[in-house]
Amino acid sequence: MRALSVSSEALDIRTRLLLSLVVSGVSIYLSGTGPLLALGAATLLYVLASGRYKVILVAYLAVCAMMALTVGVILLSFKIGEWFAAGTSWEQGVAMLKPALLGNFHTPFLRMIPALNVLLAIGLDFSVQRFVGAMKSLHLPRVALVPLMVFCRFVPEFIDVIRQLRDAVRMRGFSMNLGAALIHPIQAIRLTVVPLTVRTLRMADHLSVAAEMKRVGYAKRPTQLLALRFRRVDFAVLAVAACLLAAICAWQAAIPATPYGPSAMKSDQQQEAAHE
Amino acid sequence: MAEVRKGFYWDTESLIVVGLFTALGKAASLLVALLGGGMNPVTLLLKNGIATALLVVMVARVRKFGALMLYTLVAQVVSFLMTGGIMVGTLPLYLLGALVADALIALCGGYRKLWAVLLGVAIYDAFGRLIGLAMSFLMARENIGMVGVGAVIVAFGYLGCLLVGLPCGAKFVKELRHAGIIREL
Repeated sequence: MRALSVSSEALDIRTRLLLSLVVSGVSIYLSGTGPLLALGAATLLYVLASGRYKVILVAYLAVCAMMALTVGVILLSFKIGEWFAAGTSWEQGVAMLKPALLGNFHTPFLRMIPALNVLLAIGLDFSVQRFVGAMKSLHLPRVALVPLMVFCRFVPEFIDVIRQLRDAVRMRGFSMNLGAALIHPIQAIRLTVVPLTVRTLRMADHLSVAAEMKRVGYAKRPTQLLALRFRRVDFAVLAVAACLLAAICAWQAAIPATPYGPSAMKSDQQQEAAHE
Repeated sequence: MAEVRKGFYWDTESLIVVGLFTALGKAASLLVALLGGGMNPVTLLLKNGIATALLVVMVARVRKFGALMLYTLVAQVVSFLMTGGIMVGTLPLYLLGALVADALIALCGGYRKLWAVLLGVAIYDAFGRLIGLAMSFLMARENIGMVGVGAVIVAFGYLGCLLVGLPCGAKFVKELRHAGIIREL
């Protein structure tokens, strides 16, 4: 399976970025359950080809938990509305939600699945060096390239700094948790954000001096340590993806459009009024 | 030997500051989310407040027209990597919001005036949140309840920006100017 995998060795990072962009755009256009399920299945096969089943399962479980939380918050908001007697009451809320639960409540969640899959396909084989190489090969201007390179290189550094900060705060006898932030918000900000900000500004000073000395970003054509090339497999994957997306879009176009949002609610109310 | 150019509007220092603050913003959001335990009012207030305070410090440090636009460009590319291609379509709108905020700062006396920077960042944040909300409507248009919950969360986040972020940002900039880390003039 690993030999057939659509991993970093097989697919160019630019191919995966392009797929992520196109699939996410198409998933916004789609609204039918069938086309969305088809896109979700196709992208799931694409991400399963990486062979990282455990990570994919964990990501799916996390997204399921997030979806359950969203549904819970929606129901809770109706309950709160009833408590304060200012918004929609519990019965009204459930009555509003019932057709949606039976109808197209699941559509926004289905729309997230293809986006999650293509994102996982990028994230599972992400390498800073390859990403920077891709950005350089896209001929991005210096103003975008230098901050992006700095971002990619320094996120791990900041996570390390935050760990050090947590240890330092503990050594001083303070705790860094929600309760402490709630009781002493100013102290929490003073102990965490201020050292981080000062450290960042000092780091910016040192880094800019080093970058000026090395003339980073001044060359008309940036030096590329890793030459990226489109291979046959990239073209094949892009061609298959284009055909699949065209078919799914055609399927969506064949489905009659259903009203959504306030207009749908209004038409439902009109139907109920006519029925009465 | 590669050809070398001279005379850029964006000097390397400004570009590095923008990149570092984008990284710091993401890392700080992660820190708050880990400490605060997910989606709750305190975490939302703190997360948005810290992000806004850092943005105020960044703009006060870079002090160039287009600082918010550049930050937006980098942050959106990073968002593309973290959330997929969904948000890339909104990049022109975000850039427009940043341009309006930058123009407002320039019209209100420039980047040396702290209140102009605060006003610009407040407008920029409002624009960003409105665009995000419009995007969430597109994603969850079949279920207005979800958009409503999103709107409440966004409104709460903006409250954090106004009540925590801007005062903290103003305080940080004053202290950092006093310490000589941010230039006074």
